[in-house]
Amino acid sequence: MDNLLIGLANIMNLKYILLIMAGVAGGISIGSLPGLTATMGVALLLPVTFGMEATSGFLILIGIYVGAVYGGSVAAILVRTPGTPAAAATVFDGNEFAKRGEGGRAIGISTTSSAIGGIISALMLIFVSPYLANFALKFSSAEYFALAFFGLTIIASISAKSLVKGLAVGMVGLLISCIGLDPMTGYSRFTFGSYYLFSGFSLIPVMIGLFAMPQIYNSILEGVSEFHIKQHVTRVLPTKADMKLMLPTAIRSGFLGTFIGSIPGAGADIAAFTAYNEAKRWSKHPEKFGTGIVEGVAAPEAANNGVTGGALIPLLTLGVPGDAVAAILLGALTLQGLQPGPILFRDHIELVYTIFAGVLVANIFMFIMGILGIRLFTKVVSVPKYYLMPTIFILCVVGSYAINNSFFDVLVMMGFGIVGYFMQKVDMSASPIVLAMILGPMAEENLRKALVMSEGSASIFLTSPISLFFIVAAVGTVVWPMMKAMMNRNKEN
Amino acid sequence: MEHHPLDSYTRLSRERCTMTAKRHTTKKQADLIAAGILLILGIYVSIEVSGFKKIASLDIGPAFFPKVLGGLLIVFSILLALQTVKNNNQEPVEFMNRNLWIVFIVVGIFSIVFNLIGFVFSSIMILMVLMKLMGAGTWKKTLFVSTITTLIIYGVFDYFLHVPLPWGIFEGLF
Repeated sequence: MDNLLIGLANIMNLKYILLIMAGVAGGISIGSLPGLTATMGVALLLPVTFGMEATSGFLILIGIYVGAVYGGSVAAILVRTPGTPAAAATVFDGNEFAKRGEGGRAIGISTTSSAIGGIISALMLIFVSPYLANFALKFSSAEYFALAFFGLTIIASISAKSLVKGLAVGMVGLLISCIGLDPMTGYSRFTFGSYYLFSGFSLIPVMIGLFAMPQIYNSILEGVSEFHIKQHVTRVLPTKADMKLMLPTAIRSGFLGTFIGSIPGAGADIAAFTAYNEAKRWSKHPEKFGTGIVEGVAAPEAANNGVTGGALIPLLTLGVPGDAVAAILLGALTLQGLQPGPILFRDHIELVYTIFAGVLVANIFMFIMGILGIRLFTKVVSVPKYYLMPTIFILCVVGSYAINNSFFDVLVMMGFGIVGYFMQKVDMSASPIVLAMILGPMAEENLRKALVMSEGSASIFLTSPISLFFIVAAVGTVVWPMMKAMMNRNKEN
Repeated sequence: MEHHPLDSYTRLSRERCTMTAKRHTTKKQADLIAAGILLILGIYVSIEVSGFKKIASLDIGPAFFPKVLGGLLIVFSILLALQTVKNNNQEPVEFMNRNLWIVFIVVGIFSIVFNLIGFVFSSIMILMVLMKLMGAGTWKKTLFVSTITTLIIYGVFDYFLHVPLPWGIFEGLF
């Protein structure tokens, strides 16, 4: 509790407050624009934080994350096009409101629910993380390997439409993480003798390439469309009756979103769809979903913002990112020389609690800006894409260049941009690559360390209960869907 | 996780799909190509790894991890190919069109000239091409917008973030 007070006191500093505000405002704008995702926004603006000290840089990124996940609902409601994949489920009911001329009401519901979901997740982050970090302090190499293994299998199995594709992409990510000098022996692997590859590919250019460039290529392929908002958005503060209707759904969905966010690899889009379906199942009138009802907007919006805090839980306590945005945030911390995980809690507790307080404050700002400034953000939706997308291309270039002042990183970004574009075309998600690049070194190093400790006996992974649990869970996530598919087939026959 | 939220909504894209549907690759073909590339990658890794020197004192050396991964990649790519053949998905996928070819070529030129003519000029060039291809207004207008955008980005990175962007052969002129 004392730590939290220190964190809150730290955050009450004009500079931090302004940075969070700027982040949230930028995030809402990015989120409002169809085609720009939260992942892309955070990846693109990460280079801007290089010159800042760790806390400032991280807080502005948190602001962007929180803002962008919420901002996606504006376009979803007003122009029937989700601003981010996370808002795809909001289209169903949100746009029905707009068709009735009640776009403002729907945005009000979305704003309030997003804030509720976000604040729930922030509180969960604050109260659950310390215990988890404390628990993780006991982890040795065997447990860390098992955790990384578990994270990898779960990512591969939920992030793609097809399990095999997810697993194959995950393998590619792990192989990419092997490029460079082997950290334990200094042996050079897959470097082709090139000096540039001795430390492998930098994570940030790979991420910018995989997450931002495909969107640009897609808008070239499909042409850009213009969005015009005809509707005049008036009252956005929800009425008492609406509040009463949405509260139970928003609270439930906020917890659900936090939980889904904390699972490695499951992000805001999955959370929003799950929450929408759950709200429908819980509802006394499920048939009304899709016709523009309060719960239909509240559920996905509370859940997708619930993910924001949830994704930070495993990131900060275990060093395992909860979703693609958290992976970029991990990159941001690493660039500042900070290694997320239990050690961060031990050595930089003040920073950790300042981040916690920042997540809370960012959600409050999101609410205030959503209620007061929504008319401004609705204008963003109509920004011409033919100016915007090319500008993003240049930002990708400059952002990749800025990390090491090296054009090699720009080439890496462009290469992965093309790879990412074709992956998207064959329904392969890019997230497993990025998460595998983070978890790969963690898995390999700890596997080898553990085997050195056990003198080569693999039983070390099965004798520790924690490690055994993760390994069983990991095998389960891959085997279970296959078994289910087989059982279904037997039933059909 | 990153779906493209726009495809089903863009009227333009739907029209183009129906226009060119005949020449399209099917999802089956696309997935088979992907599986093939992954298989080649897996085989390449396995061959490369077998050439790694053994380090006598270590059972599990630098070769172990990539060796396992390469093997698994081969297995998964074969599984993917089998699954693809079984599913036999004939839906069309549009990979490339004329504009995208132009963009890839221009991006290639950009990569080559970036270090030569520096950030500002290469950025103005590629911004103009991209903006025109996406349907922005007249050349004059795009030149203006490209220049302003480039200068703002240059200014922000150079002055505020202290990231000096290269000028190439124009170094020292400005």
